[in-house]
Amino acid sequence: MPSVLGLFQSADTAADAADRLQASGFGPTDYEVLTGAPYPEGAFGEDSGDHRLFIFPLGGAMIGFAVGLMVTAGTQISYPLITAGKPILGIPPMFIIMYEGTMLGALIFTIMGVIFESRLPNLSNDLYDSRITEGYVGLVVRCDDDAQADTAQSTLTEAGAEEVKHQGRS
Amino acid sequence: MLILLLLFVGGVVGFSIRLGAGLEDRGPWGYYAAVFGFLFTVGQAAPIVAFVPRLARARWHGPLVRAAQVVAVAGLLNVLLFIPLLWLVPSSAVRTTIWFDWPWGAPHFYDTIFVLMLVVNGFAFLWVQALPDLAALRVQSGGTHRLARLLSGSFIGTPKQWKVHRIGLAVLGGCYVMNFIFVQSIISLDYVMTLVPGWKSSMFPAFYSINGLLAATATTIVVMALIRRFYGLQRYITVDQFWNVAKIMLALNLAWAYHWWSDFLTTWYGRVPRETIVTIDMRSFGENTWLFVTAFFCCFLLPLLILMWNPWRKSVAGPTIVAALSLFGIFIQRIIDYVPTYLVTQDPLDHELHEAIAVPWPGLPDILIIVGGLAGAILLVTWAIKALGPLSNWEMQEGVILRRHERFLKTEVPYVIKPQ
Repeated sequence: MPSVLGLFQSADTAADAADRLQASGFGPTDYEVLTGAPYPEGAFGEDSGDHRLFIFPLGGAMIGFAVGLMVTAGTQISYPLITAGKPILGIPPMFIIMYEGTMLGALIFTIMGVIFESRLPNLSNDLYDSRITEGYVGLVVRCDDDAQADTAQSTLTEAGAEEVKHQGRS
Repeated sequence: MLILLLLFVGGVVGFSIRLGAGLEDRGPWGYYAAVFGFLFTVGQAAPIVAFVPRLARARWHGPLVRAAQVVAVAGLLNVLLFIPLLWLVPSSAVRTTIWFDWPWGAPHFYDTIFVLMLVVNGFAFLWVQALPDLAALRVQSGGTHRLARLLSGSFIGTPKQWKVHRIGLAVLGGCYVMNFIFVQSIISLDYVMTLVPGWKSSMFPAFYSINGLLAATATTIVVMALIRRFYGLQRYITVDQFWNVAKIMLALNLAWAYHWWSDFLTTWYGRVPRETIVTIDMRSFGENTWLFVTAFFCCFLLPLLILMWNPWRKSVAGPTIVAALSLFGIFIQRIIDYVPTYLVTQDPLDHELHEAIAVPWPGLPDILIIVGGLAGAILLVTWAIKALGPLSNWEMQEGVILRRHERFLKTEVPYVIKPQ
């Protein structure tokens, strides 16, 4: 699948180019904005996509809590030795382990969530330019065929792209 | 770096001397435990300063983020320093602890997990924060920088990646604050308070944690001042950062005094001998008066007298001096916390402490351990700053993107965009 990358020196020009792409028939999901620093969501009229990162710490916390509860309550119930008339299930020491189990689960799953949701081990060789890390804004357009790639290239050039790169064209 | 390395090696020598005498007698290890307590407070606390302003959507924190977060790498040393304490401190079966009659592994097994978790949390928080900068390093080096390539994966800065990054920072930062307070409280209970017979104070864990929060601001200011000076970053790290953190630090200096006072006053008014012998005779005005007075001056009185003046507060020198004083005061406080506690030879199950213990002067191995421990932590932080850079570039760029100057009536004012 061909893709085209337009490099813009200013964010204003890049936002304008995104408008032009939409006017040329590309939808918000057909292009992606690449920046070296975070811009407010939707600043380029792009679709930033959905994520499920919140599920990871929540799920991790629930698993951690369950493990903490199992370790504390399970062991006490399995070996019910009453000491000095105190209850088998003592809440204060149980709370410490359940709390930390919850936090540990949330922590581990959040790290996994960041890796998974950011697709950090992405093996596809996407178009990129090192100038993006210096403040340039990149617009990557994913096209269905060469004709669409030509349209994207001309649109980006007309919009003021300093350089247009492409990949995967026949 | 070489000097720091040599001092650290000296610390290892000091540790070896102590180890040669064995782990059966806890007494000589008091200063070692105090170094652990201090570094665990200082090293693990600073990342909080990177999180809280972001949570409050303050926009002045960008230049200080790296200075605050990079201190988390000292956690590696903290984990190593913690290991001997597992042999020095008895299990909860022979003393009254919050673990009551917990059947197995209390407190050592669980406390080890807690300490490891806080350190891993600190590293994870640092990694996610530095991810865009590592990605930039990977790209700029053409993929030859191995560490950057390994740690940044394929981060290229898509809107979704930025969104996930922002939320990841919020979740990990939130976890960190919750973990920090909890772990500090548990350590203060299991490795300090419950070793002294008759010492029962609900204020001490809170006081110990307040020391940690004060250390967070103080460490950040000191690291920031050093980075600013040695990297020549006066244009980027401005008085704004010092001024804003100094305000929080002053509040924590006052909170330090308030927590000490609450503990002291209750004991003083109650006049129960088993309480006064610890809280007053051993920890305040008794055997260790001069140490306590030093901590009181450094953590409360001098900071108040310096930072109450606006010109001092709104400067680079004022907050830096106060931060250095506060760190020294916290170190003295940790000596008061740990050294006499480890010299207690009575059965922890006794009803009360028979005699308040004075802090002895440190011996040569203790001095080597103190200097070496501090040098080791500074070495790790210095290495991490060299590897990651003194500033968080993406946060600096974000600051520039979101800052505008507009005319307001007859003057021009800066304003900052705060996206929802």
